[in-house]
Amino acid sequence: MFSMNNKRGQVTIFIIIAIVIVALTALVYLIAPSLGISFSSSENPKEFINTCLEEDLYLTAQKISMQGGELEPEHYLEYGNTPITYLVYSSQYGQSGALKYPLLRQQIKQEIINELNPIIQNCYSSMKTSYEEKGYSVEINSGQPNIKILPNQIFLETNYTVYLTKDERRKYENFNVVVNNNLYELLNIVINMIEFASNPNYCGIEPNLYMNVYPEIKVEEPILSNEEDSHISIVTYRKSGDKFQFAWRSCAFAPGY
Amino acid sequence: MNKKLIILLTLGIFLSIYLLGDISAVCCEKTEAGDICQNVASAEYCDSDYDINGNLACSSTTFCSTGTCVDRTRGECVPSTRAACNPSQGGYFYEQPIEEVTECQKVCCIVNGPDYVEKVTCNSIGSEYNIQPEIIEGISALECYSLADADVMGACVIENNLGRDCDMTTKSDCTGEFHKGLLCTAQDLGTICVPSEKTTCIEGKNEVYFKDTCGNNANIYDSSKINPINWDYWTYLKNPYEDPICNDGSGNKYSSSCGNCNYIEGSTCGLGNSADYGDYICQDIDCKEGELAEKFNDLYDNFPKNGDSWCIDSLGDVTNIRDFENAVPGQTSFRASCYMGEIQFQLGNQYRNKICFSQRTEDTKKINAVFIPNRWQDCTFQNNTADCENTDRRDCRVLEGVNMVQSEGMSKKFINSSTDKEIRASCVPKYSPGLNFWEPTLDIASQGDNQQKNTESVCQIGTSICGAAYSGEYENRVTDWEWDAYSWECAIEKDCMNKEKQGEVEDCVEGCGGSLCFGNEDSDKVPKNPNIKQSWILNSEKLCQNMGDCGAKSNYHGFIGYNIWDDLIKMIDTK
Repeated sequence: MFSMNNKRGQVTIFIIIAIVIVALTALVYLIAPSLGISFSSSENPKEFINTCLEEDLYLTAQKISMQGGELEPEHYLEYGNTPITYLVYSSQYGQSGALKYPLLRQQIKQEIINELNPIIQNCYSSMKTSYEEKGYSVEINSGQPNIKILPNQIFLETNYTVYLTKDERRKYENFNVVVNNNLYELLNIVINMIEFASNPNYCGIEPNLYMNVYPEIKVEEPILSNEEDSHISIVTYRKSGDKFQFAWRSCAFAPGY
Repeated sequence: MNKKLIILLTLGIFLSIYLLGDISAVCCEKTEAGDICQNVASAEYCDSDYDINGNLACSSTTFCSTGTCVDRTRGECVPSTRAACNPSQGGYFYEQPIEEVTECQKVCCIVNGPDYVEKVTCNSIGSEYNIQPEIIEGISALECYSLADADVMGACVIENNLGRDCDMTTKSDCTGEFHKGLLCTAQDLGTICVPSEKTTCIEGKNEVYFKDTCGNNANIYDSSKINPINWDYWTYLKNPYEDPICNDGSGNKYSSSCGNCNYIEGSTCGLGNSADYGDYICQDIDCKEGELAEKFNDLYDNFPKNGDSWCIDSLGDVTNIRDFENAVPGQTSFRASCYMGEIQFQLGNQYRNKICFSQRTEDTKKINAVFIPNRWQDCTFQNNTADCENTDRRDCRVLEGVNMVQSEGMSKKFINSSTDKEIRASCVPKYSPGLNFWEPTLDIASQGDNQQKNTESVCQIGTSICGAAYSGEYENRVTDWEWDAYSWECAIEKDCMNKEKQGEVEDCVEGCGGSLCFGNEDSDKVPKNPNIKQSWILNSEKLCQNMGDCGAKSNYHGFIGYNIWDDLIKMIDTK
């Protein structure tokens, strides 16, 4: 008898606790917007844009790194089903190749922006639709996106401004997307490598030179079976596994005479 | 086509390719494919928005001469051609080389500490930090870095609600009171940070470091300094290059007490549970696993160390350049390298145009390998021992016992430079090159190259032909040959026969000593039943083999090829 009453008491306490939890949760959800706290990415335009663009920025940077700085290479060497741009090339035997992109960083930034521009526009359109469905009036001032390749990260500034109006008009700017990537560190090495490869006095890349000085990177030159004596260099940032690979042909040796 | 013409043609092709390189008709400043400054066969391959020269090779055009591309936004100076220096990407082209461009001169640039960089880079760094950099011109890198006082690390003490908080930072980054060269745990500073038993690895550094209770990095881990606390160690920042720091002289691998790891010695900071304090130790990054490491160990009696590189062949066996003096088909030169506990390898050139060369330094016991070009291409042009063995210019050697054929009826003369006398010898590649022997008649031509060559024509240079003028019984037939001899010895015979006709000598064959290639081994005289001399066969085989993947050879696995010498040595009756 005593134990039965005790059990009923316990059930009652549990029910009360449950009601309190539900009530508190509801209260927090009601109060939160006025405190500027959001709980869903769609409630915050910056998070909406970040979620929309983050993966594309990451994948674009990765693809461009694996293809030697171009998203759609025209003159490339295929390796592992990936077309890899020649960053240094001479069609002739015994002659040093010419640098395709002396401003490789700028080239890569440009490629990323070209690729992301339509995606950025789509993201803002989607955001507009999403907020309009929630009863907001949405005004978007589009800007010129900019890419910064920084140590350990790639930084995308969309340079858009968004105004959301419901009960009040609020301005949102600084829509920036950041992804972790060691492209900055890799390019520091790669730019030096291609300068060496195109220099008639060196005409090549010495992987061990770089690995002796920079323990954090690995430089590989896969064994290729090609008549034209082309090369692929793969630079890997050991800690993150980020890679940059490119093709080059400079002072090539002819098979036989 | 007669033999003379074939030989002349072959040598002609060889000579023209060697001397002129691959010549194409048109130079494009930029091709349709986007490549910069390429010689192509026709103007249709060129991007018409850029310059085209139909008369000169790119190396002779002004628009393809290398100048300097300056990226003022990024602050970079790069040697470049005009077409590659894209203004839409911020590029500005100068025709002068880098060293003559003012913007590319190195200066001492002071932005958050001194740095010796190009002037354009300094301005770019200044823009990045939104400050006007201080530029000091005309001083050396050493003088510049000696101004680095502001960049020295120290304890930055900041009063906050926790008390005297502290960060390890540089003076320029410190917003509180800065104490150069001191740690946050220095007792005199009276901070809230005290020594801890925790350790850490720092990105970009190899050593294990102690941490204080505020999370700041302290000095290189030395377990003897924590219990009891060595206050000198926990007060001053130690300089690894000047101050005595624990060290066993071989990278402190797996040491439980010392975190002074050394990348060159083969250790770096990593997780490990054997440390007296903390979770990090000096991990061994030498290469001790795998077949390549075992083969290295078999030869040198130790495993490859981090940074070691050595030469291997296609089977992974340790080799060196001398093993390529009689290279066989498929024998290629690789370089293996050990970094961070991993062995990776690199091919020199699949046609043995680059061969791995390794050396071991006695003091450090490090082995270092590099690829060196195999400069065999002009060996066959050399006609004396001095030029042939000139190692400053080429990688060739003198092969005695056989002369190359120069033209019908004549062997190529070869002079012993010491005696200035003719000898029976040829100049051949020291390290026989590889050829595309599996497709002997396939033309090898580069893009835009109108020259043609193939393996068959290359091996033809190694063909030996020896003519003999003799009378005698040969293969059960009685012959009466009066054929012009190919070798210069045989030419003497011809000369002798002229003398005989003029009555100067009576028995020409006897008097001139017979043929170079026919006869019994023991006799210089032409025999009644001639055989090809074994010594001539062997010398001819050597000549053929040394030209590359020619003749009859077994491959690098020891498998016999599709030619055998008996098939390749023929007696031809031209009469």
